[in-house]
Amino acid sequence: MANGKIKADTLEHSTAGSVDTQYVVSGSAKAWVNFNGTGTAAVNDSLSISSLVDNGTSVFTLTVAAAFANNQYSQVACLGHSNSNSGWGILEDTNVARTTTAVKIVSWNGDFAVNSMNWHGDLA
Amino acid sequence: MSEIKTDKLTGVGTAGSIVVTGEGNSTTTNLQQGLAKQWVYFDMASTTAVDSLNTSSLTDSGTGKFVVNINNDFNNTSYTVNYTGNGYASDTFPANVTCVAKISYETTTTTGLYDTISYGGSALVDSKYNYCTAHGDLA
Repeated sequence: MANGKIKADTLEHSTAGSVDTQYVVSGSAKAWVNFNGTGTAAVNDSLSISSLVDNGTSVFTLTVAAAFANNQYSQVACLGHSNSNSGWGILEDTNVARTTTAVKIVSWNGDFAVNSMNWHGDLA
Repeated sequence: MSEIKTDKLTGVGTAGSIVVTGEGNSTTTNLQQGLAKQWVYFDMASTTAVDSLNTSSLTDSGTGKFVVNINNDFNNTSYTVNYTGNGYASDTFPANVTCVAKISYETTTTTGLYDTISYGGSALVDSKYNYCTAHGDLA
């Protein structure tokens, strides 16, 4: 059975309000990833991530499966670890231009076991 | 302008999977997986959230450390958490803080909670502004 398709501009809940569907389309995260950057880097879980490349200590390249329409997407990231005294953070390596599918990042001060990233923007 | 009134959206082929056509009209994205499943805005001076989604409670676990307890749990520990904050306890940036706030969450995540850590440059500090968003698969 073929799946159906609904076209609508607004979704309305009986008690929780309504939302224009443009916010559903544009407000949804288009990609996210939880990966382990220690040892052989590996994706634990993800949405629309086609590859994770370990470029050496602290440097990774992530590629999304569904390309963005432009390079103006937003990217947020957070390291997870329990060491409260060392530096931490995930930075985008702006020496390497991002593309509509790939971004190079630097995990500040080492490889960490838990790395969270989300992307929002317009899909191609 | 068309409008759908409903309390629940469910996929036909797979109940938990609905695709949405992207902005460029050529690709699709998964609605359920793209939605934030939990978010919270809180002040570490209080265990009552300023505002939240799917957050059952906040636990103060020490200076600069809070536990965010999730109402409807994730189905695994591989969900993402993005946490940002101001790294100090007020609206005014203190003169003795010499580096940016370091905000993190601990690796000891479970499906129903995660720990936040706020480091204000020289010590752990109860940050005034804390914003967390979690994505992943619900149980």
